[in-house]
Amino acid sequence: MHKLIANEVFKIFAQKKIYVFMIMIVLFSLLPAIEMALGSIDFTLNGQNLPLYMLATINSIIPIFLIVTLGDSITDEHVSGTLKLPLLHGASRTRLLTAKILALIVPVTVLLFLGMMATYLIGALLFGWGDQFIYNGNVFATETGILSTMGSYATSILPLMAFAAVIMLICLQFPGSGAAVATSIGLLLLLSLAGQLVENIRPYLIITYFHEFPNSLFFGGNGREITLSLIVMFVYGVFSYLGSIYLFKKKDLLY
Amino acid sequence: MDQATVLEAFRINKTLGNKKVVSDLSFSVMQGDVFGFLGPNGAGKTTTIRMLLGLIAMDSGSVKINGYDTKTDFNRAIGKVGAVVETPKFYPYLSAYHNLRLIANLHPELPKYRIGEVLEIVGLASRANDKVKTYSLGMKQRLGLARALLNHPGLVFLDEPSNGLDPQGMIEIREMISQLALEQDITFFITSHLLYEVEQVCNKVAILKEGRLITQMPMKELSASQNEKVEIITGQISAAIEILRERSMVKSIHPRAGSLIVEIEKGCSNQINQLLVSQQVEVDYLIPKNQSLEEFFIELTEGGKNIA
Repeated sequence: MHKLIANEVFKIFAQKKIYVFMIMIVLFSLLPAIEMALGSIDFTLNGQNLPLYMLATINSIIPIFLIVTLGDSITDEHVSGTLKLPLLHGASRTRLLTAKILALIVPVTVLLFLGMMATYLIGALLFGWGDQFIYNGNVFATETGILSTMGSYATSILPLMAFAAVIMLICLQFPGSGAAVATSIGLLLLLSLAGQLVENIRPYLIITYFHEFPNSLFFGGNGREITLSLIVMFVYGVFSYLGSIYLFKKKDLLY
Repeated sequence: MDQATVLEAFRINKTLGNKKVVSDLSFSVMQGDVFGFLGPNGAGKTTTIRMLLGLIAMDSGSVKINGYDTKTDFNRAIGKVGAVVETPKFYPYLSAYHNLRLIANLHPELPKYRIGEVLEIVGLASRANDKVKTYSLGMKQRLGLARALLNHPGLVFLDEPSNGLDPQGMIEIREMISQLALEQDITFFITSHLLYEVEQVCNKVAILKEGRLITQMPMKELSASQNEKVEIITGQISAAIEILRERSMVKSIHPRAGSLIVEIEKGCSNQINQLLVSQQVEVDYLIPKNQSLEEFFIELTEGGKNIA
């Protein structure tokens, strides 16, 4: 299994897409400077809290990366005929699909780490390091702030991977990556819109937890909120994964 | 020494949509065979290969590779198999070396130098570090063969191995297959629409039509027929037909523009010539024709116009 995962990681980093997303994350990290210049930020922003402030933005870029990457590694590979190659060399369908989703942890971690480091650097350079870590009007010690920030970035991986499982299921349904990517982005927008329009369904939408899950864990979420978020991520992630395995095992590879 | 059966398909069936693509197909391939699998377009050759390799599910039937059932023991069945299904597919953004590396990673028993070895065999060692997107179709065919050979397979499936190759490339691939079969005792299962190619390289042939196996035989049986064919070129086609149609040595007559293809008992061509000449039919040429696989194939898949 680890060789299959290594192969998938190698392929992701051998293509340009991930580097485009790295550049996007760095460029988006500069946005607060523009907002500050325009006067649209009315709270203290410094090197200590910029990474956490930008996490929501980074976590709205990474789902797009997941959609594009899975469209490539599942739908495109199926149509171009390379999806079958590991299967002809002893890899089972379950292991191949599992490897494809587990491999995503590596680039997602790299993107999150890059985002965190870039925002720390840009924040410190543009706004100064600051004396305190201030978040949502609460003041924390610098060490607490750094640990909470790192924890928030690290735990973002969980909802993102649950979302990736949903996208994997979608990608297996389509005969072309264009349709798979368009549908996945459509779903992302739909979920986002639904959450904004109907407040009551927000706790049941996976995209809510890109931001809310780390926030609940590190900034005062109660036990019920954390449990609900874990259940929602589990349901989205595990059911989509099992559905994908079921579909892939039955799928005729005609290309 | 008895040959072992390396591939055995038993009554396999497949329906795609409403169309029965493969019907009750059974055949076996013995160790050391270079087995040609022929059929017109849409006969179900590629679907069969995909079923043999587990890429698409059979509706019914069974496949054994090296004695292992592909349904119950797929990993062991596929363990010593190499395959190129349709046009060989690669990750175009990677080099040939890295494309093979990704596969070699799945075979931890392979030494590191094996990639260089197979690239050497197919003559691509000097282009190992070039990205596959810069390769011609012919080079991709060679690289596909290299990938199929990577894990020291005992059985290699090649689907239209000459696709996209120039005449010189075709000859080279044929020579490579013959050499590998002979020197490394690799069994080949080859589909091809180029009948001449199959005739040149295969020792056994199976012919498929509309998903059904029409015949399966050793190539040498094709040439060991009790009858032979001659082409009679004459300006008096009708008269020649009249004379020949009642003769017991004549088995069939196929008229063509300016000539007749006549199937006769072996060794009777001289008599035929004398007979026609004695009846004032001018014979311009009498050309012995070995029944080629192509003719045999057309006869089986389309049928011929028989007069006699």
